[in-house]
Amino acid sequence: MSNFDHDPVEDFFDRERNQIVSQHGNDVHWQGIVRQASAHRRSKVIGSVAGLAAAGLVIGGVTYGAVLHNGTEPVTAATQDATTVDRSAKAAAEARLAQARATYALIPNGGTVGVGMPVTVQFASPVVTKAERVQVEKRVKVTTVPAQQGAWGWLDNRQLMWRPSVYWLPGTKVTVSTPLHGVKTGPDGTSFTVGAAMVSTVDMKAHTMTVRRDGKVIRTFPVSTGRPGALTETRYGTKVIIERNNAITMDSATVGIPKGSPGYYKIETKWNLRVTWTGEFIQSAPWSVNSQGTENVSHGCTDLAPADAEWMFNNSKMGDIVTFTGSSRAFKPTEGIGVWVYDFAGWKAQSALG
Amino acid sequence: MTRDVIDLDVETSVRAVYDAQFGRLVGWTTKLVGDPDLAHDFATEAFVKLLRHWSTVREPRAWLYVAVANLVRDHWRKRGREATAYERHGAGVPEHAALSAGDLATTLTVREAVLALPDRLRMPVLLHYFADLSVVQVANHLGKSEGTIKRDLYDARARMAVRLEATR
Repeated sequence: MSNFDHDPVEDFFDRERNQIVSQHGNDVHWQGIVRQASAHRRSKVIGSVAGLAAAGLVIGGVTYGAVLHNGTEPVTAATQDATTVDRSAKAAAEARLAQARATYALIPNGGTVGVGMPVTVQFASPVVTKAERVQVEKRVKVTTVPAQQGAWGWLDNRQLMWRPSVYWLPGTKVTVSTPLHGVKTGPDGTSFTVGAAMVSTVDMKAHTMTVRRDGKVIRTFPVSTGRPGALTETRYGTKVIIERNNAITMDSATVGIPKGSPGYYKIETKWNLRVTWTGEFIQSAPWSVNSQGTENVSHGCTDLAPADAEWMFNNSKMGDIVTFTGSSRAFKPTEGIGVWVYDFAGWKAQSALG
Repeated sequence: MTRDVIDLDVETSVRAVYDAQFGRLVGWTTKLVGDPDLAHDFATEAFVKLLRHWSTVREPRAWLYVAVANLVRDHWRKRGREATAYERHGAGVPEHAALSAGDLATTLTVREAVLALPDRLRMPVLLHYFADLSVVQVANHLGKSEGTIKRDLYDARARMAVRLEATR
């Protein structure tokens, strides 16, 4: 086959990445990690969990590592047959499907969440082909009480999400069934409850944040968002609160301002609400109080006065919505929980079932 | 003995990262060290560190891949010294010497390709091309400028292209 139109280096890495076979973690192994992290900092005990690796090697009865060292193309049922002679083609194909679905996590797992929280089935290995996606989507099911319209879609190769057509009705009970047979880390289902509708808007031009609960404005805060510029501007779009964290050290080296350069900073921050995986938080920022309400001076975070940030932190939950307007840098769906970047028709198009 | 207790909120957050990233991280590492047990150990060590340093980590995925890439690099350096010592005794055979030149492009593994590069180019290539980190992320985590990383990647691509194209 000619590679004439392709960059051979990129093709090579694409192929190698596609051949990565995910192993799976499990609760016992996780507990081992927590124990090690809790133990004396200077001890470095890795050997104690090595025995678990053996279990991670064999997936669906097929030892994938061996296939890949000999393989010249991405794993297919055919290449598996070559190494598992006593296995019928059908069983091998099933094993491959089991592997594709093998490792996944369900998020959220219990608890009460915000009205923007999608159901997430997070796969450790990519589910790329339409056939595989159809197989997965046909098996997973979401039940909502009261009933609400919604749809599955793939945010990317590893994240299958179900979102309602509009934000959840507060009080909804959501039950998820994922009977994906094969070896896996996750449970076969989960359920959670949707709490009060906390929907906030940040107007980056007016430097204000407006908080609505169940449709009524309950607070308005002066804020300062990211200062203009390709690397510091706060992204516009509808984001979902991913995580609450009441104390974080913000090191600018992780967002592109290395130690030693003029803008370098390393600060302890409090009352942090994470809204993107790229480092955007809603946070307490005593150092920018004078700019809050008048100008955008941060490195991408939404700065609030300490008392406001503390209130926001205490009244927020994973899954609450924050919509940002007024910048020229778009929030991309995979930079956070990006299901609300799409309109409902656009979201439904992310499903393999159409 | 002092004990640092891991905060429950931190444990919950890192567990979510573990569920999403651990499996792929082990698979990624296995491709590099060829030994699934060792890969499992490296990924485990990275998660132990992530639990301890969670409050300073903003990009958990990038952070994990950098942590493991560092362990892999150290492993390769150690192995390199061992292999050199072994060859001096006249018994060494380079790892890919058995491959015929004709099918190099289809049998070259990422481990061999990266090991064929000079040490200084290996980390940028691993993190950018194989772990899908952006040039900015690679630059930050390696403490180098973006320009340096771009130059390293360009250099590495040129070297690899020669190797891959020779086999068309």
